[in-house]
Amino acid sequence: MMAIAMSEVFPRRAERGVPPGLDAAVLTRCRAQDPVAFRAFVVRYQNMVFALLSRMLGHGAEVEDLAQETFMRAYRAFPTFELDGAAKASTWLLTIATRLALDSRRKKKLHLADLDETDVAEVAVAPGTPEQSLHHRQLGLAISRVAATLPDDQRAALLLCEVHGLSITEIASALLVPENTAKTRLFRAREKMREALAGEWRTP
Amino acid sequence: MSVNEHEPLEEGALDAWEPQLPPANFADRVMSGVGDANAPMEQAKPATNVVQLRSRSRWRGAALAAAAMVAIAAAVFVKVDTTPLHGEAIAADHRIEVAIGGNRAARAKAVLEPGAHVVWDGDLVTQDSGDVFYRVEPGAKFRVHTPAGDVDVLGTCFAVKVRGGGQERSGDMQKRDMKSGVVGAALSAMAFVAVYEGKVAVSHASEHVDLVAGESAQIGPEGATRSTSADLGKKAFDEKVAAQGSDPVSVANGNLVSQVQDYKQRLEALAAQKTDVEKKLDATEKKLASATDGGPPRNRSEYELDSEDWADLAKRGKIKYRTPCLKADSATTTDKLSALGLSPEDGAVLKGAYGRSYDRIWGMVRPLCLQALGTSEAIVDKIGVNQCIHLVYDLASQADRDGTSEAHIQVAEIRAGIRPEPPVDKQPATMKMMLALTAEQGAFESDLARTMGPEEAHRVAWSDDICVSNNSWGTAPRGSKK
Repeated sequence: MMAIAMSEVFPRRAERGVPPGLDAAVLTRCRAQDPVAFRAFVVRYQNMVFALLSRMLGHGAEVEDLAQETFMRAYRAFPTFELDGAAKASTWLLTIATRLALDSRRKKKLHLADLDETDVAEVAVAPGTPEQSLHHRQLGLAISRVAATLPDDQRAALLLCEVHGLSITEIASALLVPENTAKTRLFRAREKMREALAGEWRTP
Repeated sequence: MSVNEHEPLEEGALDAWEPQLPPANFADRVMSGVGDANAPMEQAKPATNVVQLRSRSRWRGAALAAAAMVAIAAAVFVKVDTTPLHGEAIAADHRIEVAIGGNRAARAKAVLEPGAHVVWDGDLVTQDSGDVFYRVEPGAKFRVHTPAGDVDVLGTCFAVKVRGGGQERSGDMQKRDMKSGVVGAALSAMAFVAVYEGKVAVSHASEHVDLVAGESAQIGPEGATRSTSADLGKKAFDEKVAAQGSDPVSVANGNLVSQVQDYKQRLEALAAQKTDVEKKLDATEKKLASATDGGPPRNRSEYELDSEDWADLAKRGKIKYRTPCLKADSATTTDKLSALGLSPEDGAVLKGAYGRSYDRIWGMVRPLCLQALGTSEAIVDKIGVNQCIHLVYDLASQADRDGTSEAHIQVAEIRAGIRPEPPVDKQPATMKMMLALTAEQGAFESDLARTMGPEEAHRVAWSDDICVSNNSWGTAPRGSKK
């Protein structure tokens, strides 16, 4: 039987949800727990961390608290972060945030809050005509609702791959599962999203 | 499963899923937490030859003093005028942090890399050499003057690197060493500015370039050049600085480089000696802490025991064990699976493992229970596994209290690896039961690992969300009985 390399079956997505990396000098200072450099690190990656956590947990104060905890853990662990290692700072940070989100879900049994129209109106800024804008908001709501039905680990795998561009190996590491398990979770999440949102995605 | 089924979603398919944005002061909130974990940033002090050392306990004072003596020549100089708004800082051999713009209400913080030199007068900073990273509080007007040009900021975070254009310095012996190397330096002054947050304006002669976060600029004899990428900008700057090395002026400064290198080597040798002493002290400190506090903090379940844990329990006459829940149905509901980070499809795997765990425990306890009670199988089955475990234990204790106590200790010693496990036919009932119960969680994990893989099985088996029974049995330690 011919083996297919994981990277061929699961090519890394473009890293659309990850900002450009900080230069090595700043990361070196972060590693030395230099507060000035670490602040730059927070500013650079805060949107990415909020995006992951809010899509895992729903919008709210919990997201801000966990985002802060994510950065605090990163700060404490920075001296052990290998600047020349395989993991990028953004991937490492997403891993911390993902585990915190999953732990929070497990401990508190949070239910993803459905966004009401007011929430979406506040956050959604869609370009184009009013009709396109309305569709964008409705699509956002639909994605959020379908994603809320996914098991936490599948939603995490979906976000890490489709939004943040992590590879299967990186997702497996973030979720603390073997690569085959990560692959299965991602596959099932995509399948469910496609099945539930096919009509929405086709609408112009 | 075909390859097509693994196709990613269409690019941007999830873009409409709106993320929550961080509040404007989020970075400050994080940094206040960081501040709690750190000592306050070092303020410039009205002293010379300040040796930066971490605080140490009294018993290491003498050794540290020796380290300080060795390192004294590698010290960082921080000199401040009598007026707190004025100051000067030189980072000789290692990075230092200083507050700029007054001691009480610092308007900016600067991190100087070795070789950097800044002088400040209020909010005007003159940086004539080296790499400095600045963080300026919002609202404060702030200017960094370099030999190559000026950088004006209004609340931001940025770095400035200056090459060439060395300035004359005055000071003590070490400074004169530096000065002697700098005299005659006439490299064309160049500066590189990278912005990490906020905005800055870079000025060179009549040129003016505005930079936002993520951008950088190079200032040199040709003017100011903007780059939209800090990395690319830095690379270009480094290349340009390297190219200067072939200039006649640079060649003429070969002696300077040599002297500075020699100076650095001497400093590095002294710093290495200091580091070596500190490492030895750290190692001793850790050993001492381990001896007095019982070792580093535990980062696993108190029921996940290693041989040292078991040896400790043996001394205290205790055993501890975890077993999976005996009712598999309630432990594998969708909610429970979700809490464990498992899919509904994983339910069958978990349920199967729970079932086999039950069979193992009951298969061992049932005959012991039958033997202890001397009753019929139907009654034992009615009593069930949990009651049987306690009955076997209680009846054995009543019949032979010392033997049961000794069984605790021996089982713990067997698990610690300091006593061989006796043949099954030589094991008393309580020992047999304790050995089986203390091995069950491992058997359960191994069972899960056959399907989930070892890492996932370990995570699931020791998760706080999995249904388990934690137990701790104790007796008096050996030799404590009256």
